[in-house]
Amino acid sequence: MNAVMQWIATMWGYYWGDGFYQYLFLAAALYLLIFRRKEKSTRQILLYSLAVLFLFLCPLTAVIIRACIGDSVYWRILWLLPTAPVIALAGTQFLKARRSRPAKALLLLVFTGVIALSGEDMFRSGNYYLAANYQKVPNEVAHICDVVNAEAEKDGIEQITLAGDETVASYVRVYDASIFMPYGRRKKGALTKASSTLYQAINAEKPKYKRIAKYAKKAGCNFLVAAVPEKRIKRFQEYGFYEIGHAGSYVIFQLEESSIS
Amino acid sequence: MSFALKGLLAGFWLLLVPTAAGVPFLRKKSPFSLAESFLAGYLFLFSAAELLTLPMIYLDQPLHRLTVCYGTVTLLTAAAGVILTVRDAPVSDTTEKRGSRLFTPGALRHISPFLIAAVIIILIQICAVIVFAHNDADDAFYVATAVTDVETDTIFSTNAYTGLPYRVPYRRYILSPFPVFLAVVSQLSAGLHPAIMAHTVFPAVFLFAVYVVLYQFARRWFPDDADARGIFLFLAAVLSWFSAYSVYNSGSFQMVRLWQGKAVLASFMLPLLIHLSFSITMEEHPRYSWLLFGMANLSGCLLSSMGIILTPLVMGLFVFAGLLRFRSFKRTALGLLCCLPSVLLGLFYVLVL
Repeated sequence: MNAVMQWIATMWGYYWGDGFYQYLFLAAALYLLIFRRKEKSTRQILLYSLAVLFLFLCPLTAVIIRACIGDSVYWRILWLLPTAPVIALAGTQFLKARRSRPAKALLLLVFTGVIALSGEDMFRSGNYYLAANYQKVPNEVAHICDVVNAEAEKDGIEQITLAGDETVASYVRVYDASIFMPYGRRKKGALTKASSTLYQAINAEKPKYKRIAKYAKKAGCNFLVAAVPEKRIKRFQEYGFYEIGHAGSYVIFQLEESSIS
Repeated sequence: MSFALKGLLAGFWLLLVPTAAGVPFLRKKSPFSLAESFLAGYLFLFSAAELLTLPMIYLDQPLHRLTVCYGTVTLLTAAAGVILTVRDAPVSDTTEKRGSRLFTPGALRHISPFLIAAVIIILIQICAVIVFAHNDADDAFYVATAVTDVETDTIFSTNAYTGLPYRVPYRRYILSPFPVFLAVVSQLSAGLHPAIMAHTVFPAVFLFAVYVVLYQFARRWFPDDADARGIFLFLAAVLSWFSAYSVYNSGSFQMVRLWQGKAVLASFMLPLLIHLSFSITMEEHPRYSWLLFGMANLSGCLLSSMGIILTPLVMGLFVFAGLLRFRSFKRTALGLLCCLPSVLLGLFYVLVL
């Protein structure tokens, strides 16, 4: 029982993070309960919120729901909680009672400030950046795909199989699905042992470049992208991969035709 | 075809078609607003996508066939909506009445300044999601599936991670083919790249839709107070703006990845479902048809596997509350019937997949 309650508290913590929105929600609910309890809208939304909170917090329902949706995403039950509507409803009910528009406007600014202090600005939290491509994938990935496609066209290569680290693997096929990969994000889709080994080698904290080149060839890759220091590029040449370009910190390699087995 | 023209086509399929297609489902509710028909239209589009996609996956049909079927069904429904609107328009609805509805310079004076402020904030948010990018690694499956399906003209038969045929498809995702919806809409928009559709068009359209839903709450709670409706929408928009306090809350999903099914579920479908539940199960005379309630369930199933569980959970809560309040067997049976799609899909997942 204690373990379940602790786990519920952890999920609660995940959802609300560093903000104070849960306290805003509580304050809003209390305001509605005390001052607006006779209104139908208040009763309905608060009763519904209470039911959701019960589902989330009750150990019995939590265990049942966890069995259905999984351990790691139990916090998603809180998506059912109408946080924004309840806070906005309470704020509006409070402001509605003011008579003059300037007073409402002034208080609205105060509320905006309180919300800003309780949360964190989406735009200042590093969530957004300007992408240089319409598909809005990381710029390096778009450049890698363009370079690889251009080289393949030049050499008459019909099927491109490209390997890269986790970042590259996650976005290459979002940009261009004509490029094949030996594995995807988190090694998903890896069919051979060589592909799995390559994934581990290329994402290792201290990569062994010979190993990367060896298994890239074994996994059937004719293109390879890795963050490689200049002096280590030779290691790739030993396995037939020669440098065809750069994209940020990545070096783009192509397998020599004579090396294709 | 030019980029701008593809964008216009996307606007046609994602704004005009749902608005018109929602009309046949609102006829009992008279009068209804454009916003209501837009939302009802989305319930229809999502339901149609789910109902058409699932059998086509199992019949191993090509994407272009699904695109043609989906396009035809939605266009016909939208056409029916237009015809019904024109046919049912009152004869006396001449320039005098119409003039009062349409925008006139004088009408601006009657719009609440709070609503104008809210609209400005919402427009800033919409512009931001159009102009800026946000990288989310979950796209490696969700968006890549759409790009892969377009590239190979298949539906869920090619592994989005590698480009190789699936040995066994990911059973968790197959019943919620929102990426296929993305692929279909991209194809209908003259082949606009699914990643562009996902990262630029979808967030703009769905962010707008999220606020349309929230405005329905405002209309419900403050029917006679325009200022209050504006304040409510303003506060809701500000709350979303400052949602970066965690990456798990629905506001955060709404602001940074509104092209993924689970984000659309969290920020658009679940609030819409709550609004519908209040209007259908908690009213003595339901304001919308039970069909819409059932379509909301199907729509949740399309968006995410989480939707297959969360939508019946919300609906179940309200049906139970309705039973306590009205003690009506018929209403309860109707409510439970509306949950049937997710129950069937859940059983299919457990027993067959």
